[in-house]
Amino acid sequence: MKRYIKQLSTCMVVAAVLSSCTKNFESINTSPNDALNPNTTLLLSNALRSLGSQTEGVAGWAKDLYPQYMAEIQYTSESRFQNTIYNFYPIYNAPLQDLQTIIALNMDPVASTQAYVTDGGDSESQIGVARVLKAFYFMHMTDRWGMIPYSEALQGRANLTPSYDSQESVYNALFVELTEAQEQLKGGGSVNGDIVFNGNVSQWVKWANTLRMAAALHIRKVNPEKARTEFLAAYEAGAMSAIGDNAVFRYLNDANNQSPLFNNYEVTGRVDYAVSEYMIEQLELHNDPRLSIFALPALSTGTYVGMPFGLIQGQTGAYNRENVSLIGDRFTAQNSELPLNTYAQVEFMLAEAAFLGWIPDAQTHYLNGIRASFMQYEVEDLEESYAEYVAQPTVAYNPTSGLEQIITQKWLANYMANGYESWTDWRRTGFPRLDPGPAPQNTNGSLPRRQAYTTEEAGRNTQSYRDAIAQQGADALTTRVWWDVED
Amino acid sequence: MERKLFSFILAWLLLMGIAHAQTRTISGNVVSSRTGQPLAGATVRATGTDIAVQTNAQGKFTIDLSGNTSTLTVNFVGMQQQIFPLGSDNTINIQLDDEDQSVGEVIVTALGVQRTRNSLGYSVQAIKGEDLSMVRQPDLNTALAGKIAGVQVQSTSGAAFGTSTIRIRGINSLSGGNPIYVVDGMITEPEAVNMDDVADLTVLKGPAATALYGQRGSEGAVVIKTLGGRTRDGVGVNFNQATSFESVYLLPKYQNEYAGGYSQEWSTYNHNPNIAPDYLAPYDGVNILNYGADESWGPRMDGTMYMPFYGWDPSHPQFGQLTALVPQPNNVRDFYNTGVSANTNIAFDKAGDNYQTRFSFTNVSRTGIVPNSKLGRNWLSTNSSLNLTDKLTVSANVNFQHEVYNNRPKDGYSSQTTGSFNQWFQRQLDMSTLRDYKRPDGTFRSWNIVSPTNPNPAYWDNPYTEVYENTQFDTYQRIYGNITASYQLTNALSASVIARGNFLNMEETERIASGTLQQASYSQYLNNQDEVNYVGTLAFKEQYGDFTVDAAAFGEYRRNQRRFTDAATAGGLAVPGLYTLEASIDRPTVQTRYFDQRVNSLYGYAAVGYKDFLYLEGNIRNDWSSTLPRDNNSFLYGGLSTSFIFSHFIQPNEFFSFGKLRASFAKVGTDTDPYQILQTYSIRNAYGSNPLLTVPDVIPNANLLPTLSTSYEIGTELRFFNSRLLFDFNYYTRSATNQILNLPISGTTGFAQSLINAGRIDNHGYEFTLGGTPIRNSNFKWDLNANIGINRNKVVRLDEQVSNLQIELDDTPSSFGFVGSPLITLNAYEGQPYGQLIGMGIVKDDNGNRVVGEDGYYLREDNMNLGSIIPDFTGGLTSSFSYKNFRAGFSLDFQKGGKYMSISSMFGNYTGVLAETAGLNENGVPRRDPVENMGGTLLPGVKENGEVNDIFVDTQNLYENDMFSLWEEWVYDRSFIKLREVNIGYDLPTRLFQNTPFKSASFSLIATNPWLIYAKNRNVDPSILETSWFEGGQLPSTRSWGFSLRLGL
Repeated sequence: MKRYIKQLSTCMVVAAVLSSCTKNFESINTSPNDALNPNTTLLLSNALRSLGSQTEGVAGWAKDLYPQYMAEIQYTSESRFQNTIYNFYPIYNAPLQDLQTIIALNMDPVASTQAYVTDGGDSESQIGVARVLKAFYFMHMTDRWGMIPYSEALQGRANLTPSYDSQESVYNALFVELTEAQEQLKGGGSVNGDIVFNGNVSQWVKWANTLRMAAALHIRKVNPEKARTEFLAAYEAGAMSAIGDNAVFRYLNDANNQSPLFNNYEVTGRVDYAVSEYMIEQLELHNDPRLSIFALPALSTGTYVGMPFGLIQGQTGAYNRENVSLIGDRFTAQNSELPLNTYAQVEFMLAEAAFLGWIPDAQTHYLNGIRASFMQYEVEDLEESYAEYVAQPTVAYNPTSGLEQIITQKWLANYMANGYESWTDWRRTGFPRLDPGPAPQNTNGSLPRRQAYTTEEAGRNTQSYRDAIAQQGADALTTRVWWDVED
Repeated sequence: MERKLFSFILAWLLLMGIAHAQTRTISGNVVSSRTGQPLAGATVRATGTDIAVQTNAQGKFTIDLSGNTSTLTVNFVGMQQQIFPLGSDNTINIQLDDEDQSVGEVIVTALGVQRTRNSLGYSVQAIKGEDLSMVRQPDLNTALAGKIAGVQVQSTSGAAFGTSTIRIRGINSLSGGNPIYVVDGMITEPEAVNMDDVADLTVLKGPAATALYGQRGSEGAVVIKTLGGRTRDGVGVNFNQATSFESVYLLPKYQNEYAGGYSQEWSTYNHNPNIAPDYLAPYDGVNILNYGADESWGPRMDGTMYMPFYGWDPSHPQFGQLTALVPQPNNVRDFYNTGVSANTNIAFDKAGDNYQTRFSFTNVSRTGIVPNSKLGRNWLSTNSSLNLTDKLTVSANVNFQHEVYNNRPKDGYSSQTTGSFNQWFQRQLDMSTLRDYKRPDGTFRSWNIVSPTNPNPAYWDNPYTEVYENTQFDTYQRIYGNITASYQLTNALSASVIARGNFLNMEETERIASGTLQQASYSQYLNNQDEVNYVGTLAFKEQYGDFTVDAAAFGEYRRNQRRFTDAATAGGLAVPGLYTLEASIDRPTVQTRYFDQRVNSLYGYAAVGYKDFLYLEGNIRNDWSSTLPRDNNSFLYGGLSTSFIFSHFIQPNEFFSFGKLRASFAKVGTDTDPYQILQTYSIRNAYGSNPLLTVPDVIPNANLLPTLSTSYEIGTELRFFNSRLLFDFNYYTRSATNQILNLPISGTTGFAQSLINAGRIDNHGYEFTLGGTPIRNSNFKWDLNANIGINRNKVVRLDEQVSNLQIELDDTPSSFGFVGSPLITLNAYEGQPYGQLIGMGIVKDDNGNRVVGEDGYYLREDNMNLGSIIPDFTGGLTSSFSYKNFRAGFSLDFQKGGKYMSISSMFGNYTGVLAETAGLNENGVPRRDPVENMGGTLLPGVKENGEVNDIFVDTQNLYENDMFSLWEEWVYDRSFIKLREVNIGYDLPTRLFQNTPFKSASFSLIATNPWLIYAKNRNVDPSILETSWFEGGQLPSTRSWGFSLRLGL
């Protein structure tokens, strides 16, 4: 028996040793694979990198298909609006969460003094930049989906089922955000990791005010007074005033950062997209010098041949990459540019404001917009081409059809850029006069008026999703968002 | 040299025989040890000779022996063979024990503890090694199919060389989960188990059985004891060779009426001198197909002369030659080869008073049905022990495995072979015209050329380009085993120290060749993972009067480490054909990871038996895991089980032979993976020289608790008619609380998943086994065993904020869908059973009829419940026969109910490849003809006003647009019955080689997966589903037949 006791005590020693071996467990369980501290410089770069992503940013094909800059050659599901569902999760997950983290760190009294935050630059500027970019993403989202989680979003575990905010309250919040952010940025302190404006904070101020002007025009039919006030205040505060102010995401000559169209044309060799027939028609109608920049002649004919938009698959068999005009090299280059907002847009917005009587001189702004677009696309013999182009009676400003002219020119100027804005203009004004093709689905014979929420939302955020639909209308392409009112 | 040695040994043995030739007569009787009844027709043989007699009706025998015979070998069907040592007595009495399910059957349980079956208070099922290796199933789990109640085998196509997984007792864990495989104490992977080395295999199903394995055994354990050296006659060599031939079994039913294209109208070639070379001018006006189409809605295959894709290729021997457009019904089958698999094992074993040892070498060489796919596998293992002193024993078991895969065929939607054939293909293609895939200049020929003047592939490479040029090369090296020293302190008490290790070193490389559809690339994945553990044990075994006591205590230290590098070139290769990372044109994408986890444990058990009819066992375990927060990292659990042999109190009779009741209760605790509790930030691919960092998508949990699952189990085991009929029933419940899982959450939170302790998921189930030996006489024996398992579950509580879990079951994504289209998701709603498929469905009327709209297409409704993937029940049937030296057997398994989704069925119809898109419609008119010409397809259902649908719709539009992502149409019942294996064997009579050193020889014919007896949708074999709930372009099911030869000397 004694022996057993001895062995038992040995056993207990073993037990004590084993349990005391847990002392370093915390360091063992600290990941050596990831950064322990959030470096705000790198977080900002990532939130900006997302801009050029098809899922996390604004570069999905719909941006070029809905405004009919391009048409699908063979598989036409997206241009026939068979695609209804677009997923906003990646936008919240990647750029917005990173921006939210930048703001939270800079607001936190302890974290904001740490090197991983202070290295990111001036604290006010870091917050300001993050707020502007956040506002850009949120406006982009609410214009696509309508109601979205905003005030309860991005809170992680604190709220796993964020409710949806009405588009009106999102817009109200965005006006405040953009106004306050550009005030914060006027301090001028630089930021690091800015891969769009290279830390030039005054450019951010201009982008903020440009976004605020765009937002104002979006809501001008549902709240004309607020629209006017916000527009004029933003213009006053200083919007983009030269093409050097353009907010542009630049793809790189690098497989990890290349343009999606380069990937489709050159890497996978699928060549799914060509310039739309309507686009070619519009360019040819006004002898537009941008035609040869925007499109390539069809290989088999040597002439410009647009691809009809939204054909059914039985009809597409007659078309292939050889007998239609492919998209111009400038846009299919590996390191092509993705303009987000431009000076040309600002001039067209001013022209629209003038057309509405908010400011004077629609024609000047209209012509400035065209000129800015020619400059942006580096049209050869700029002055001569421009003069020739605007001298045409169909191009010269005509106050009776002013809005159509302004928006159509704005549409041309936004070719293959952030086309969601062009789609928004179409929804607001009905211009340009886009034909949805012979067999659109899910849209009652029109273009989509919004995009549908991801299916997963119905299963993961069920009640909020149902409440949003109850308030906004069916989760369909035909449901109009708040600012999209029928005339 | 070897031959000389062999002859020498032979001669020597013969001489020995002659030298000792003397005769002796022995007589006696043979009885059953259990019943005492005489056994008529038992064979009594002088061991190792052909001298044999049979017992008479009274079980008596008389045999004349040569003087050097020292043992008799006694055989009786259904009884264990006995080698009876001859003493000086010439009259002997031999008792034989029942072969299987016998009263004294010893079972290997958790931690390798051997117990009598009777003493176990929980359900286990055991399989003998030879039953596994008889039929050469390519992997262990597939070999278990149908043999164990409550085990669902999830196999994938044999063509992929993959191993299947098994699920014990349904889905207990919200994320699926697989059992552990324990080989001589070391937890390893099922693919590491060499079936040639298995002596005994036991499946431990519930927590009561596995609690001693702790957290890792929470989903069950497959416990394997490997063969060691045996005291035996002969030299101690076993040789076993099996060769089998594998071929494609089921392919989808294709249509053979229409060729590739998007329209039935013929097109002609219009020579355009601007873009076309002059040598094509003569072909102006010839019929062409739409080569760039990857669908088959094209012209009728009616013999029309046309220019095939290769006719435009000036380097092709048939350049410029028209051919007739005719059906190629066997084109897909023609692509596949007959795979050949050779499995050779040689083992040497011996045992003496102070040692036992065994060496085994196995080689598997296999070619697959997909051209250029190859597998080579070698195992080397040894299992030995030495009794160094009376008290000190040292043993070691080491297994080394080396595997090389060349081009392991890929399952999946975008695979360039199956993914294309069944989903995106032109039906008129003749495989013989594709085989010559390379042009003299090294570029590749695709059937899917953009146009006559553009030879680039539009969407697909030639499948032969894929298999010969886009190659993969994978190697795996695994070594695992243990070394143990045990010391007998007293008769009752022993102590041992065990060191175990399991080391895996793997490399997977993949090439995408320059000039193929995809950008050229090279990727390399290097992974090292290992586990080391040390265990100290104190074991006690003693008998006190009517009581037996068996107890042990263990202390264990375990460390798991893993490090990997995953890298791929980006932007192409600097030099075509140079497959290295440094050839990357852009900065390669690289991921390096290191994981470290430690678990310390103390555990033990105590089992008490009373008079062979009442048993009680308790076990307890405490783990300390590094992966949990400090305050929660110690967790205690254990179980109690009891077994009562009530037949002990029943007078032995002819009808009722044996009865046992068992009951158990257990808790098992589980931790998680490393690095889950602290917030960290992840690097992403840099933007130029700007590094990127992002907040990861999973919300960590600093307050994580261990998972605890509690189970109760009761069962009974009954035997009737002298144990000829066996019945086993088991009922269990299991409740898992605080399950650790990544809960998929709304992305609007800023995250994709939240690591939580999920509330509670409950399971209960029934297992029935009915078996027996309907016929048994001296020459013939027939065994039959059937089992059924039923499991039901319910998600009781999930999370305070979220009431639905979209589940990533066994690493299958929780949802599937195409960009822009509604997803189909796998869900677990609170208060409901787990595994509900939800997606776009079809509106039904009150009678359940599908409703069509005014246009004749189905009315649809999103977020419809499309059924559960959980089967109603699963089961199997095995049977074996033996007649004299012949034996035969088969096994089948089945599943009733459960749903799966088939992407390849959707696309096979979308692209007009499958049979249902062609043929005649209800009007007797081709369904592909225009609706206005009485063509089209009539969807079964009713109109909104209740009338039977009579509106035909355009067939192509139906499948290309309307049925796309209409998930209800593509969700199928997964019920199936599959014959898994059939074997026929013959043991050669020993007299045939009595003058040779051979002691035994047998020959078998074997067939694996010969027949899918039943399946609802035979376009897909549901028994080999690519993922846990859907498939897309899965490889075809295969069947194989072969033969095996075993020799013993």
